[in-house]
Amino acid sequence: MAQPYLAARGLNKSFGPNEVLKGIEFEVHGGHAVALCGENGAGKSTLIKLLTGLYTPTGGHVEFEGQPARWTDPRQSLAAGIAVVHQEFSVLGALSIAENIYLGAEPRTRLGLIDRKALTADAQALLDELGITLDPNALVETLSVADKQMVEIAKALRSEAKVLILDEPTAVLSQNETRHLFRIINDLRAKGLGLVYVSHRLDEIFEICTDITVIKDGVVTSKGPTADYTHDSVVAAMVGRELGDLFPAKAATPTAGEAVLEVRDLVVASGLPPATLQVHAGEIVGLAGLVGSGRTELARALYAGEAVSGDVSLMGEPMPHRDPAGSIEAGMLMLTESRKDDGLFLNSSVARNFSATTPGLGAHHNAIPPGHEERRASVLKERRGVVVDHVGLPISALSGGNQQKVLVARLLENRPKLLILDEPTRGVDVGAKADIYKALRQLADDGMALLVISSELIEIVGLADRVLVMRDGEIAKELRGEDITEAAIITVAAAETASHHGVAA
Amino acid sequence: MTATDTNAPATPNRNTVRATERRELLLLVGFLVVIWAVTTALSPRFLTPANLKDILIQAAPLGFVVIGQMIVIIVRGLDLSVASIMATVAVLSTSLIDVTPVIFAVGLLLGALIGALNGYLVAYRKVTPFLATLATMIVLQGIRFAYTKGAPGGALPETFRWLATGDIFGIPVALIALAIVAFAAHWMLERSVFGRLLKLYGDSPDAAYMTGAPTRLLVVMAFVISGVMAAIAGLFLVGYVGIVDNWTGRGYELDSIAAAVIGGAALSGGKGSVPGSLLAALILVSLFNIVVILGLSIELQLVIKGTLIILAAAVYMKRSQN
Repeated sequence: MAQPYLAARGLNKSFGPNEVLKGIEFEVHGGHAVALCGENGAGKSTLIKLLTGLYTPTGGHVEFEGQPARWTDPRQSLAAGIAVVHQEFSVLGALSIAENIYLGAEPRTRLGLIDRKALTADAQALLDELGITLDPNALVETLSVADKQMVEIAKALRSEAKVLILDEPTAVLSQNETRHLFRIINDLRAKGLGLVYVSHRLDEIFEICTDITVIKDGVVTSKGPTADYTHDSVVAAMVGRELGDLFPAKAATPTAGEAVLEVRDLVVASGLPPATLQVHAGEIVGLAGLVGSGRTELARALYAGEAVSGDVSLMGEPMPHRDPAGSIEAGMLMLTESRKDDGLFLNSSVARNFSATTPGLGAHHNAIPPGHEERRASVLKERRGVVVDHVGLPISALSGGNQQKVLVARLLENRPKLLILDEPTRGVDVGAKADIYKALRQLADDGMALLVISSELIEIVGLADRVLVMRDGEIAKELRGEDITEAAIITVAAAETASHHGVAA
Repeated sequence: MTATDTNAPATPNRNTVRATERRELLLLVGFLVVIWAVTTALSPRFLTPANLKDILIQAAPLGFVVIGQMIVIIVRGLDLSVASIMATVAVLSTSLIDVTPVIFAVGLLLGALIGALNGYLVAYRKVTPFLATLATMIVLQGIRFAYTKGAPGGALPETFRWLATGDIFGIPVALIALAIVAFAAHWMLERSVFGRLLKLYGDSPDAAYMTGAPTRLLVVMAFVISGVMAAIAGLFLVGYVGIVDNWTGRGYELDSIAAAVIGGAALSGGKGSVPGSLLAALILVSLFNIVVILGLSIELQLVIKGTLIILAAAVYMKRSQN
């Protein structure tokens, strides 16, 4: 076979002691479309960043047309002919399509001004070549999401490209829009471009990719022509891994306890189907689904009352007016997804963060005696194993795992009946993860009801007694006991959206 | 030393939040001592009991305003209407009645109502504090001029004058009032649950909301406090000057913001203290007094004031990066 356009040769990447990629061998040939498959956190985006020079490898090297490429800046790889379309759009709404495509590389007149005629003509030629029927003078903010995606692709291909990398390009597209994208991808491939296609949707991969490479835990576990694979064999390569003893034993008889949380016909946002669910005392319910499937929205609807309609009751008591303060008082607490955005008080001390939900707890008449916060924090710190020299230090001085322990300790001070945890181990190292899993199981054993959201399938499978899989804003399936496997969850979560064609009533 | 240290390791940690705040306060004390010492060396007329008393009495109205302003800044706000509140409250309440306690009662109520309006606009209508209080400032100005037809008048009752200029055992009444208010505000910020929530809200409004803090109420209350403080300051100032003027308190909005920032409040919220704010107010008033005593030009005072703000901002920025 001819020389690949772009290849990784024994590529390693570590962040501190953390080895993210190990000995990656990967190649893209002209006229091929390679699917890059793997779970969240498997190392796909790290690999893309290495291939484009955004990161430098700690071992091995990137090869471009058979020559080692020592890129230290994405602009170098772009100049060489590697174009990337990222998941998040970078187009600017207030500019025209032509201006967006040639942003920073506008054709100039002899006076150094932007040559508008040439700009429009160049953009028109590029759009024609790609078979995109859009007016180059139209403002980008007037376009549909799919058309914006087309502009992104045109922008990526404005200079001669040899390889085009698409990172989850269909995440925001409807089925028809996806069709259109596929036609363009096939055209580009026919013209000899090499493509890298990152997606969770297996159906799409089998439709347009010629080759498949699977990454798991930073290692290539399988690669070959698409014809050699089935859906199941790809999933097996993605998730086939031992659970190890990271997770404590599950509840013997889940759902045996009384229903702590009962949700009936909760409409999170208008247009979405109503959600109905229960969480019982003593069980951990996992809420799984792809990013954007509506997990966090459902959790916030429960905790902060951000819902259109529906009934929520806790311990049999209806909760009509819900806001965080009311939920906390009723015994429902939530660990939010992003510590830095709405969890921590970053400029405040560790001690103050410990008691933020209950600043007056243990104090008299709303007065907080001197040193009260610090004394309470010292006790909690010991109990929860938080490693910090002095509780008066700012919380920003702590590691991610210790920050998370402070947040969990703060929640538990309120003696919750129901605990909602959104990505409880994000940005936490493996050792601290095991501590958190153990603590959560202990809480369930003590009779608490837990609802855990996680993007890491292994976490859901290892931890949950029952799993609700979400897709497109609705609870698509419930899994129990032996049925809870990574493959089963992925199959439901990443299935082509069938909901529009009618779901069994 | 506080009881904290019983739990602290043998060597007190220099990087705790509290140790950092204490060092900032010491820096302000040091600066005040330096400018006083330099002026004393240059002029025998500075360090006299009469002059120091003057400085303190003049600093009292700004002291009230800066406490309110600092509390608004803690919740990520800004109150541009304080000077307008000072004048409006002074004009309206002194013209309505001449019984001193009633003047104060009406004035404080008025200040609270205007503050509540500011707070409502910011917390419930999501108007940025800058615009909300700018608008309030202008509207109040209009009301004031329409009411007085440009020429406010009316004699001030004797008790009212005494409150602003008189002494009890040689200590100015205005200072005693400021001390009481300052202690209450300091206790509220450092020791009460309400104060704790104000600071947490300023640190992260989103986290405060998710931990169940009554976020809107906190913002409204901060502006109410600022309105009340401005009202008290306005009444003491007209009492001190002896005439009610449509422009009473002119310039206090920016001076109070400057003092709050020099005193350690961060416009990004969550930080600020009563001692720091009062020290900074005292520094600003001292500078004015020093310029007069040394016979320097008034313009120089502005240059020094501006330089001080930049200096303070630079010092605090460096601290927050460490």
